[in-house]
Amino acid sequence: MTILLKAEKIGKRYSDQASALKSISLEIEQGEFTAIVGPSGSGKSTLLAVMSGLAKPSTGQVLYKENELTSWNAKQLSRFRRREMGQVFQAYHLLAYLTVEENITLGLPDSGKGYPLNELTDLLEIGDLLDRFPGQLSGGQQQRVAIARAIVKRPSILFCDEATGALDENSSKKVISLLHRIRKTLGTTILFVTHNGEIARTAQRVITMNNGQLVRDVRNVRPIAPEEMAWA
Amino acid sequence: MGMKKSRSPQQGSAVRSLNKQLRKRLYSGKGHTIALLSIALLTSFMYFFVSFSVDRNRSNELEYAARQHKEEFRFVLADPEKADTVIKRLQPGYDIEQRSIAKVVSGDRTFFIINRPRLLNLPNVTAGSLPEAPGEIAVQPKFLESNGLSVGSALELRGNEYRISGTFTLPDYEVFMPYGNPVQDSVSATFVIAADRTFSNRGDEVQTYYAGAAKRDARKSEIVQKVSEPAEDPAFAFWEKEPSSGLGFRQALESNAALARMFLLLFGAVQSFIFYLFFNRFMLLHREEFGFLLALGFTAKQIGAALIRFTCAVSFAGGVAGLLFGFAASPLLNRLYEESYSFPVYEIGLNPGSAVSGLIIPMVLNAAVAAVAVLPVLRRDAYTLLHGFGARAARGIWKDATIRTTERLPARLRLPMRIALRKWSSVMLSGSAVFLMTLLFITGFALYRSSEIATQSQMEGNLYKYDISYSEPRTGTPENHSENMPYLASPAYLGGADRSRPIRLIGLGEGRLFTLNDADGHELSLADGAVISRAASWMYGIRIVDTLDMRVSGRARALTVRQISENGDPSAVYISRTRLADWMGVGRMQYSGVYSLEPPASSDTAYTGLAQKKAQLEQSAVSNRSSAVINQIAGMAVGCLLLYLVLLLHVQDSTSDMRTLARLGYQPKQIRHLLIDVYRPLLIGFYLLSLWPAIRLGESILRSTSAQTGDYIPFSVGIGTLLAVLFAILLLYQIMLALFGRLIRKETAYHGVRRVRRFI
Ligand SMILES: Nc1ncnc2c1ncn2[C@@H]1O[C@H](COP(=O)(O)OP(=O)(O)O)[C@@H](O)[C@H]1O
Ligand SMILES: [Mg+2]
Repeated sequence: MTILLKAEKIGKRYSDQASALKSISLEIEQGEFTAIVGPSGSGKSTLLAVMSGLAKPSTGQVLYKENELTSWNAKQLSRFRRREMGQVFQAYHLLAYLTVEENITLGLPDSGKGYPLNELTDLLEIGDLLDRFPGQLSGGQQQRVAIARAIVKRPSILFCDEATGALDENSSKKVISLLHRIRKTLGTTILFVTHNGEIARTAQRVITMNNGQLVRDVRNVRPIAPEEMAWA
Repeated sequence: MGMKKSRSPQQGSAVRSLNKQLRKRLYSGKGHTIALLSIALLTSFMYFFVSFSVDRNRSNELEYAARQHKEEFRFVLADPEKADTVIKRLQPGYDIEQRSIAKVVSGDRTFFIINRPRLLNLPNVTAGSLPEAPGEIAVQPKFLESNGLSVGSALELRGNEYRISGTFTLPDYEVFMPYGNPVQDSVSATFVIAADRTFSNRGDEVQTYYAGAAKRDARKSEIVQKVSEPAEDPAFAFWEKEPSSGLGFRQALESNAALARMFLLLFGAVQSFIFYLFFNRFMLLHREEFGFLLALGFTAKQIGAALIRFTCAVSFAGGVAGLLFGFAASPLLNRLYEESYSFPVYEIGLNPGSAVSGLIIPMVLNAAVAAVAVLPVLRRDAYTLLHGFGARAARGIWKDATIRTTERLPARLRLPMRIALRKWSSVMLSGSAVFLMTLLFITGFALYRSSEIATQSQMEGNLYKYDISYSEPRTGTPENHSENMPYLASPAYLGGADRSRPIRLIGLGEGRLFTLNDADGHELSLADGAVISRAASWMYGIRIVDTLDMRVSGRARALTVRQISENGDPSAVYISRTRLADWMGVGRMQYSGVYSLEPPASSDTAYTGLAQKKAQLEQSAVSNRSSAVINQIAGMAVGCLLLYLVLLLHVQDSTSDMRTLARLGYQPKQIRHLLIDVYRPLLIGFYLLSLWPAIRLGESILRSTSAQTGDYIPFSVGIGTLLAVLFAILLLYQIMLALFGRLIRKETAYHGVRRVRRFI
């Protein structure tokens, strides 16, 4: 298997606080669904931000396809974000003044070439929402639009930070199974941060963090299907 | 079951969507868009309002001056016999023309008859032609009209008949006024142009001098060399550079152009400051969205460009609107000129240069501050912004200071004051609102009162009715028999060669018709030095015991200022008659004029009546009043806008506080007290802090304008003015309060109702 993303001894300190990350090394394999779990404040989001290039680590480096991402300039970072990676956040971050369709086009690279809109909307079941505004959608619908926006560029890697954190059971299940389908059909690598243990059970690999450190890193021998998740 | 629309995104559609989002986000905030537009409009309005009335008139005036070949200096020769030599010496670089002016009183009319100018100060012919043959004269159109005459008519002057060959206008007629200040009303006194040698040898009182100006094609070096130290040259009995030729109009135009520039700078700075605050807040408020846009891969440049485009669009739109309003309002000022000066045409017009400065400078300034406010935020880590960290950092010092300063306040005020002061930007804004209002009002009031004070100071101590001046110093008893007071006068230059300022040295003789008084009304003595008026002292920064270096009759003299009088001419230095006589090399009993209770016995003698002098002073009052009004309007507008902005920002910032308070059961009135009422003591505090700097700045603005224009514009400020400013500020506050009271009720109503329901 090829290593897509690699963290080498990354540490992160926010101004005067204790370290949010303490020298973490980690390799992410291409095409895998990796869940990162751990209690709140354990550094999951920070780890994801550093690995996706949204935040600079205080020490260490991140390699993407063997290039040192952490040393890229603004232009290189922008190209990476526009072409290679997708992001899904707990707060959907849909732009209020744009229709669903326009929100999705925001995810396109400059070339304008991306996933055919029809297929994408079929996949995410948002075909009849295209002309609506975010304010007119439910949370689950909004998150599916956000996912469409993240994958319309056919990213190599998708970073999800508590992507289902604000959703109810049904919507969450739908989103999780969608992500798995995307991984399967498009071969997208997915890094999924959650504090929900059930979601982790659907992943192929589960990394547990505590206090800025990796405390466990296991492979799921037999991941469950998203429909099998037992919601608390 | 319609067909599925086939949609295919195109190249660049992401950036298009980005721009749309940012555009809508920016324009949807109506409150701030309107505020930004209005401040841009106000800046541009103030600038263009003045510029429209200045630009075209200014270039007309300059063109006129060029076409007329305006006199640049004048001189009287020490020895008229040597005229040819002296003039020959000057002629390579200069046009020199002998000028004679006769004052002819015929019946109840006074005529100032000028020999026809052929080289310099060419009149504007409006009908017929200028006189050629002796016995022909040209008059002013208004004179013809008011006397029912026409071109070709005959006019009788003291028994002689003259044919009117044409009419002319002489906008810079002041240049032809060697006799002081005749008021020309076209009915009782008027200028007349006569052919050569019509009056000069008829025994009328004639004054003769030479007018000169650099030849149109003369090289600069030649000019400088030829007349570098004319005041030193014994060939000249009198030399004056740039005689006040039609300068009234030019000065008014120039000082208004300076006013326009000041407005552009002052308001431009305030405007940019507001744009800066706006973007600062905007970035803070929407930092998560910007973080997300960065995470999507949009660059700081792409995002910043959209924000800067908005800035430019709003500045430009406001600028254009201000330009249109300015154009619409400019006839107001133009009419004022028309009423105060005599110039052939008054036109409204704008130079392309002014249009560009007025529209582009503020726009560029705003774009620059927008970039300064926006780009550093966009260069932060996307993640930091996304999670709302960072942007609020580094305000710790301000916050600590606020908490410390509010500690001593009574409990009732402490919390609201902390809420109001927690943002340095709104503190700055309300501070500058109050400061600007105070400054503009104080300056406005001072301007308004200045003419009155100037008139008073120049009229006080004058018990005479007529100021009679002779063309040559004379001795013996003055011709009129009633009481009079002789004086000797000489032109002089103040300061070194580089900054020589023409003044009048007046040697006062004995008499009580004119006295220089101190503040208590006691007469000042000239025995041990010079006395200058408070006006001169203020304008030129001269103090008691200062030494004045001056040139009198070509020789350097030093004078110590001993006292400052409340009254007197702003451009005169008073000394004793005997001392001046010694300096001028004339007998101690000589005099060049008298203050008198009666007009001169000989009708040919020049004099200025006190009433005329007063009329003259009142003319200059018009332009000061107009500036005063402009200042006050600007003050009110700026105050309105800034205070509105302060409270708007404050209320916007406090909506969540308001809701919380509403949930806790506070009534809208109490909430208003907590959040808004605190601005009253705050504004009063700012007002008190602003007073001293505003007074000092206002004074120095008037002083420098005075010194530049030579027009005495005294600064004064009274307790009434200060109270009026405070009243205006509180009035604005009250208006804003009414406006925001409604907003608070609206914001809090919903939560109040819900709270009640839950408890039912
Ligand atoms: N931008 C930031 N500035 C300062 N501290 C931060 C920032 N982001 C996270 N932290 C701190 O770093 C630690 C890890 O946070 P985070 O990565 O968000 O953990 P998790 O996502 O596991 O809840 C926490 O103590 C948090 O308060
Ligand atoms: Mg987190």
